[in-house]
Amino acid sequence: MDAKFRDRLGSAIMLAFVAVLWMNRGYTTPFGGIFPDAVMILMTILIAASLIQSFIGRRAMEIETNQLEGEKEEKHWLDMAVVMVILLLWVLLFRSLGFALAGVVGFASIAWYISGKRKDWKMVVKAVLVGMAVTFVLMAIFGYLLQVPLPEGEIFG
Amino acid sequence: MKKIAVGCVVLVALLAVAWTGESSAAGFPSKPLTYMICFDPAGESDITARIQESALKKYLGQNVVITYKIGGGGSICWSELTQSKPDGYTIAGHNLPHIILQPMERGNAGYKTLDLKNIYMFESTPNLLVVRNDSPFKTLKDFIEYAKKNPPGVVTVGGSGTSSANDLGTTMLNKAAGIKLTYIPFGGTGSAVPALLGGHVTALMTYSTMGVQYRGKFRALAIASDKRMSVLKDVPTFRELGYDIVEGAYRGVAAPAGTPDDVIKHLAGVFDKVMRDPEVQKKMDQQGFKTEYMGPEASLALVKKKTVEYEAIMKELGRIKK
Amino acid sequence: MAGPGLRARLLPDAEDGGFPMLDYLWLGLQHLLTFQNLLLVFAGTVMGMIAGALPGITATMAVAVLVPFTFTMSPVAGLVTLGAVYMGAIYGGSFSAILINTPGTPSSIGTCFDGYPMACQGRAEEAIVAATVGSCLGGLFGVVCLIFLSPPLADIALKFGPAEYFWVGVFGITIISSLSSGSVLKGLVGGCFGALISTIGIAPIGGDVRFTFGFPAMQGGVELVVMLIGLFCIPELLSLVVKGEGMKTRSEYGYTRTKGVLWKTTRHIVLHLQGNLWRSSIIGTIIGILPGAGGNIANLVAYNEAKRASKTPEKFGTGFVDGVVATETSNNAVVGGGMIPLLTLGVPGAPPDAVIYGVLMLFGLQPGPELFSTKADITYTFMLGVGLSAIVMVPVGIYGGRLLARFVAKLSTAYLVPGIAILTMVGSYAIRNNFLDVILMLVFGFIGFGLRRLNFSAAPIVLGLILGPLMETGLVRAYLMGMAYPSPWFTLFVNPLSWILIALCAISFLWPYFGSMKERLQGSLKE
Repeated sequence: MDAKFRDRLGSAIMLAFVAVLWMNRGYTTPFGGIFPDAVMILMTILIAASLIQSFIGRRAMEIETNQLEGEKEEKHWLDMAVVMVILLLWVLLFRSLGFALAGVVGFASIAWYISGKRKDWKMVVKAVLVGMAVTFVLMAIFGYLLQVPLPEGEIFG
Repeated sequence: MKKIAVGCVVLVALLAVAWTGESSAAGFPSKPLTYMICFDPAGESDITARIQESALKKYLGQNVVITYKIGGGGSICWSELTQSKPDGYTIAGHNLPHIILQPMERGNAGYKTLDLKNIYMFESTPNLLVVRNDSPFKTLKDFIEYAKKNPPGVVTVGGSGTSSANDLGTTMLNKAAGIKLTYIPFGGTGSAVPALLGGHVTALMTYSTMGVQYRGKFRALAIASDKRMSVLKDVPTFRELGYDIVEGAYRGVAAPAGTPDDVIKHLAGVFDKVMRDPEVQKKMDQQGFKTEYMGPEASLALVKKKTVEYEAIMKELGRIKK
Repeated sequence: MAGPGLRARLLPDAEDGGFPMLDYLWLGLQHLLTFQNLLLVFAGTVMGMIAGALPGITATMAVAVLVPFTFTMSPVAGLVTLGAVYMGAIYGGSFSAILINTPGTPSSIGTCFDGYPMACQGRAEEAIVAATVGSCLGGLFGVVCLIFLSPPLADIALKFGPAEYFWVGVFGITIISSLSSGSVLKGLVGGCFGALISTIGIAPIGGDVRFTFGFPAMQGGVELVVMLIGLFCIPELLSLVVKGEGMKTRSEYGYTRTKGVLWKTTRHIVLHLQGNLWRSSIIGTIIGILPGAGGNIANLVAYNEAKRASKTPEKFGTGFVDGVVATETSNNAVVGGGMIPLLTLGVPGAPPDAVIYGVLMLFGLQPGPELFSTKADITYTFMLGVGLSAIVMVPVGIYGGRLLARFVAKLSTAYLVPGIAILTMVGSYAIRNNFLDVILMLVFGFIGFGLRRLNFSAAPIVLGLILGPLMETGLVRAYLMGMAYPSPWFTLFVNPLSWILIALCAISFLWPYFGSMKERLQGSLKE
């Protein structure tokens, strides 16, 4: 994916976003739409301008934090995908498993997976133990000290 | 050294499992309550909650955590309440007529009036029309004459929320006096007051409490109650001045629909004790509130009665279609 | 301007001779320097710092949670504790901003921009020292203004009406032109994106239910802190995974444990960055005075101004200590500034002030002249206590912060990644005990990662999210107030204060272009 293509893809996605919102305007009060409409119109103009700039300008509009491009080291895209899936599952099961169990399992699985020492059973044990400790500390701080009602989970109930 | 570290981690981990296996104790309430306030800080709902706070803790036996969810004239907060867990640990301050008018007027307000299960109604405050002390309007008559002389909509009146008591009160005044005031909604009395202090609006349709609190800075032109209030002896009622406007806000607390009845009853009992606490009563009177003592059934009856009333009023005022 | 002269307004009860304010200060100091109060300031500051450092716990929440504990205390003790918690929390937010690129409180968003790169370069300690010095000095400045300049400054707060708030919001948007590393256009698009996200849910005026796509849960809209955690933290997390460092620790990225970092950095800041310190403190105090403008934008405005005033603006965002100093100085100045309208008018300058207002009410303390005369002993002790906590932060922060920095640096990525992940989950849940927030956090995190790859940076989006409601309420109210004029939009341009703000917006927006125009002029002159 070259830089200019990414610029245009980004603009296109933003345009799609505006379009989706525009078609879902169901304003019921006389002034509910003033601001969002104005912003959407402005945004469309800006996207158009940036698309034009991308076609006639010389450089792509790279941002500095985008260091992932063009580096020599290997990229672990598969690892990232797996972590994303784990995170998603973690969040979705957060409520039904309860914070404690979800925390330990989620933490341990990510720690183990990206450790690079997956075959080592000692790594599994360490991951689980650290996970338990971290979860416990967070439960103490948030659940007890700050009185946040953390989900208990349908299993422990 | 490393083994000791691992050992510590194991110990902590075991403790963690043991600790999380503990289920919460029976008996309501066994943990702190969240009390959501739907309007700006320093407004009536907030002031009342603060007056109630320490007595609540005493009679409830648990801490009460006050949080703010401001916007939409309260609808953001109430819609969140209806989506909260109906276990009695989340309650919100609610207001009449707001909770009736908003679903009525807006179609989709984010919640339905009867989705808010009434726990208790603890106070009422009539609407109060105020201007700044240095304003040229000395009486209501001056104000209305000015509004008639100028193009419609020029005179701005600030208030708390849309489809609220202040909003409705302004519409009622418009109709009764034959003028057109522009109502400017704020997130609560707490932000409407600075607007008047700064001269950004001409007047405020606010509540009796602000007449008391800002006695030195505001001049109250009229109060929308059927009799003069003892804390505001010098303020004539709208009725006295020839305009039949009696309107204001009732305030109470509500829980999500589906909260068990015994939990509601327990909370109602607590609030009843709180409102009858002499400290609380003293502060309420001082601030210009009229204390009410309506439990769940009485509150629900009031809501239903007012719903019928307001439907008629709103149609008459043209705010909803006939 | 007729009315009481400056002297009479500054010194409430001054007749001829006699400076009651100094008496009050002395009295306040005596009250403060009791063992109990000192202990409370210390404890409050530490608790505040911990709460602030945890993403998802805002300063407002930290103060609110402690309110019930103050019931059993005397008014002075209660207020002093809460003030210390507030000051500490705003400072504490810098730790997570620096160490894990997640603002611990929204007031530390700007600290991520330079603080995190510094940490990645192994200069985390330097960043923490900078944040500490800035926070202390900014905090003290705000408190000094509070003590000596309250009455005149409070009047400024009242002059800002809906139209002015709208222009303040627009001014905030112009900051995007300097925050955008890359194309300004894309930054503005990002800002609009953020502003539109802020409209999801129930409208602040009128209560319109917008863009919920049939999900009642969306009526609550998107919380700022959820988006902050998602957009700043998750993409960083995923980048760490992609780099595949596994058991490597950050210290292997070149963490240098230099001796004397503390003194070197402090000396550098105090000697060379005075302009930055003064400017950021003033910005923070003024924005704190404006009720509803929110301390959240103070750090970004200060960052922007520091960048504009700097001779090396291109260094901002790469780990330039000036950036951290600007943001942390201003956000702690907001603490004192926000209390000015609170104590004089009863109008909270920032959300934590609203909580403190409730406590004042509880103790029967009415904001206004009374607080500065008959109840002066309580008030002055309180104000001095807030100032003291700014000083207490320094040893606690330097010691604790460095420990924290070294701890995080020694953690292998394998533990850092899930550790941050679990923190983000509990943090985003803690905001309103809403499960949807955790999902949104992750979703925005993934989106943020994707957007970053498509060259949209997070800062403008977040800025749009913060400023959206501010601009909307200002705009709609101004529109309503404009019924009297030929066009309702007139009200936006009527007030002289608006003109000043509009001019500031124009200058702020066009500044980068002036800079490049100047360069081109100079370049063409040379030829």
